[in-house]
Amino acid sequence: MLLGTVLGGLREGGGEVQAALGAPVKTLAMPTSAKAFIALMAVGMMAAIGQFVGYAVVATQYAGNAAVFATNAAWLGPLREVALGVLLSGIVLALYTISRVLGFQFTRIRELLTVAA
Amino acid sequence: MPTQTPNRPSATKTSKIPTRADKRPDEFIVVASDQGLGLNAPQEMGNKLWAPMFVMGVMAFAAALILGFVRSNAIATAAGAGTIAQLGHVTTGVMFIGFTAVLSAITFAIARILGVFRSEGGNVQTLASGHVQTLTMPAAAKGMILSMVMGMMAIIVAVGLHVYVAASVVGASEASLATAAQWGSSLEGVRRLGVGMHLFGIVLGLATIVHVLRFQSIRILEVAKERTASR
Repeated sequence: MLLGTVLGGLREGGGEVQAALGAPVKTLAMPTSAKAFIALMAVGMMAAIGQFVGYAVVATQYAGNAAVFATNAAWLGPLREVALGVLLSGIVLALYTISRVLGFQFTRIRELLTVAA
Repeated sequence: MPTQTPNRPSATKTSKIPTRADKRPDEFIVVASDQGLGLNAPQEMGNKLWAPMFVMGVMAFAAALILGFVRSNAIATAAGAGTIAQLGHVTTGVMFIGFTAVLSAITFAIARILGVFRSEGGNVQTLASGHVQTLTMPAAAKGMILSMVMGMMAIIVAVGLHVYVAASVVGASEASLATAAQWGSSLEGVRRLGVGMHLFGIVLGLATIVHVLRFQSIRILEVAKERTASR
C-alpha cells in the first residue's frame, strides 16, 4: 500500500508543479498494471487470511483425526507460500507502474522546457 | 486530460561517451557529457527481463499450488509414502522457482526505475543546460546485482537437488524416505538463504534509488541556477 502512496504522491505532486508553472495539467491515466497491482494485492491478502483461518481449523483436527490433519496441511502449506508469492507479484507491478509514471513525468518536464525555450 | 506515455524509457544511442568519472565536491561521482548516456547494461536487462520473470513466477506459483493439491489427494487416498515424499520435494522445488522468479522481477523492476532516472534525467539535462552529469553506478547497485545473482544461484541449486532427491526416492523403503527427509531439512536452509539474498539485493536497490533521488534534487537546483545565469 505504501507503493500506492508513492504513486499518489507522484500524481499529486506532478499536477501541482504543472499548475504552479501555469501550464495545462496533464495526468497519466491509471495504467492497467496499477489496476492489476491492486487486484493481486487483494487476492494475495485474501489467500493469506484464508490460509490463516485454514490452519486454525486444521489445528483442531490434529488430536482427533491425524489423517485428515495431514491431508489438509498438505495443501495449506503451498497455499501459504502462494499467498506470499501473489503479494510479491503485486509489488512487481507496482514498481513497474512507478517506472512508467516517472517516464511520463520526465516526458512532461521536457515538454515544459521546450515550451519555455 | 489523461495521457498515455511510451512504455519503455528511451535510450539515447547517439550520446557522447565520456572517458572518465569525476568526483564532485558533494561526494557524488559523475561522468560529464554533452548528451544523456542512456541505459546501462543492467538497466537494459531489467527492461527486458522483468516481465518474463513475473510471468514465470505466477505460472510456477499456480503449478506449485496444483501439485500441493495433488499431494494432499495422495495423502487422503493413502498412496505410497515414496510418492508422497517425491511430490513434497517437487512441490517445494516448483514453488521456489516461483519465488526466485518473482524476487528477480522485483529487482529488475527496480533496475528499470533506475534506468528511467538515468536516461530521462540525461535527456532533461541535455534540453535544459546542454551539460549532462550522470551518476556512475553506485556500489549499492553493484551489490544489488551480485546479491540477486547469488540468491538466484542458491535457489536454483536447491531446486535442482530437490528434483534429484525426488528422483532418488525408490519405493517406500525406510532408508530412502529418511534420506529424502534429511535432504528436505538441509535444503530448506539453502532456499531461505537464497530468499534472504534476494531481499538484501532489493534493499540495496531501494538504497540506490534514494542515492539517485538525492543527486537528482541537487542537480535540478544546479541546472535551474545555470539557466537563470544564462538569461
